[in-house]
Amino acid sequence: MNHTLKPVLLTRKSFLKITAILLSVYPLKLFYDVSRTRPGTGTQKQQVLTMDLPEGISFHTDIIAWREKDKTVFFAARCPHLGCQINRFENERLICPCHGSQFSMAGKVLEGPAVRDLTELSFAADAARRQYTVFLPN
Amino acid sequence: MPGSIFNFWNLRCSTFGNLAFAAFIIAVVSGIPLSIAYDVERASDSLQLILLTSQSAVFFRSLHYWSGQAFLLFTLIHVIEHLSKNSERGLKEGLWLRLVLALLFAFFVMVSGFILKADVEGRMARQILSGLLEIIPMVGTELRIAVLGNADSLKLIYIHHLITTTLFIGIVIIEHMRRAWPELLSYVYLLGVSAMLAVLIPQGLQLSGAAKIRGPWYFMGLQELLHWIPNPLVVMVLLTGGLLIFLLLRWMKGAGSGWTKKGLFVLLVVYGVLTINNWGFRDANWNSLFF
Repeated sequence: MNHTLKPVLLTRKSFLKITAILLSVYPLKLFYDVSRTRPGTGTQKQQVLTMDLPEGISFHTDIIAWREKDKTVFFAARCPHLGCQINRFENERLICPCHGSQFSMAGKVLEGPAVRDLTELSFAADAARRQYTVFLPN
Repeated sequence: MPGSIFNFWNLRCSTFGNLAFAAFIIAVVSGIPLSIAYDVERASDSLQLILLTSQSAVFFRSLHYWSGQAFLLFTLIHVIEHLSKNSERGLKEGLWLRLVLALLFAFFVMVSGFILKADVEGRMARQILSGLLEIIPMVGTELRIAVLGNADSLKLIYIHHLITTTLFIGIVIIEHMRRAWPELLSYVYLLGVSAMLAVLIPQGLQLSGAAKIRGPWYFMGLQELLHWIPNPLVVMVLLTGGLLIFLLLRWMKGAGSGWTKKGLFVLLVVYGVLTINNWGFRDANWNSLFF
């Protein structure tokens, strides 16, 4: 009987290794493209809101509005802890749903884990159109 | 003692490794019809549409979900089994490194699936992950882009979920198990249980704002840590340290290895307690009944 072994050019393991390396080229190329086409740089986002805001706190997607008598203040709805959207107001407190940070109506931290206050946003008022243009951070 | 528990199970049922492998394949196959209907540019709308108009889509999505949960659960049990028998020392160094990376990818593939729901919970999960990556000094932003892509698009996460991580995990499983298919019995068990859960507990979407974001079960402990530790960088350092210690287990010997494993087990128990606290004992304002 002849027991000589045939030389193996490509084992299953080496084939899998080569395949994995070749297939990783596509995601790497994609990542390269994606990282080079980052939108949002250079232009400031803004949101238009009506002047007829309700008294107290109201939520507008990325913005929290606080209206009291003649005073109106806008905050970014992103929690300064990890960026979750704050969407809850109870017992005079704004509450982050992700980790429970709590803020006063004036945006000051009352309870952590957040250590920074809410970001107050600048805005422009257009009395003729009765609307605010609120500028969001990039 | 723990080793004998695993032996008792293995003699009477499929091994946890086989069960995890079967769950992985069921998750991949059930994901195919979903990926056809899923539109990454209109993720939430496309998911709502197929879930509202097709009962089979609801079933396949739930099957995908439950088999995915089973995959992670049985993988974790399989890892504990290996460590209890010290069999990590018998693995080649390169394979051990790939297995640890695949374990990390397993968590990512799970959480990326959670994000791809594109509902309220999914968006918040993405924001938390993005914040955690961004906070890493020097490489944070690049890492975030590499993992999550552009803030306004789910495209890269979708590609990682479908191709990058799934392919890597599949290759490493085949290399580790030295077989392309798990035992038939594992399929029967997993398909039966996953299909039953898919029918009994179908998975929906969280479309309106939730009072409290729980996150997936495997990250509830992490949510607690992020609640307790104000600086997320400290949490990232703790997680990275834990992963590094786990990685070094392969090269540890004797009492050092034993004590390290006991230490990691204690940390796992603590994580479990945090998970239970987050899951069952926190109200909408994050007040806990216990601590």
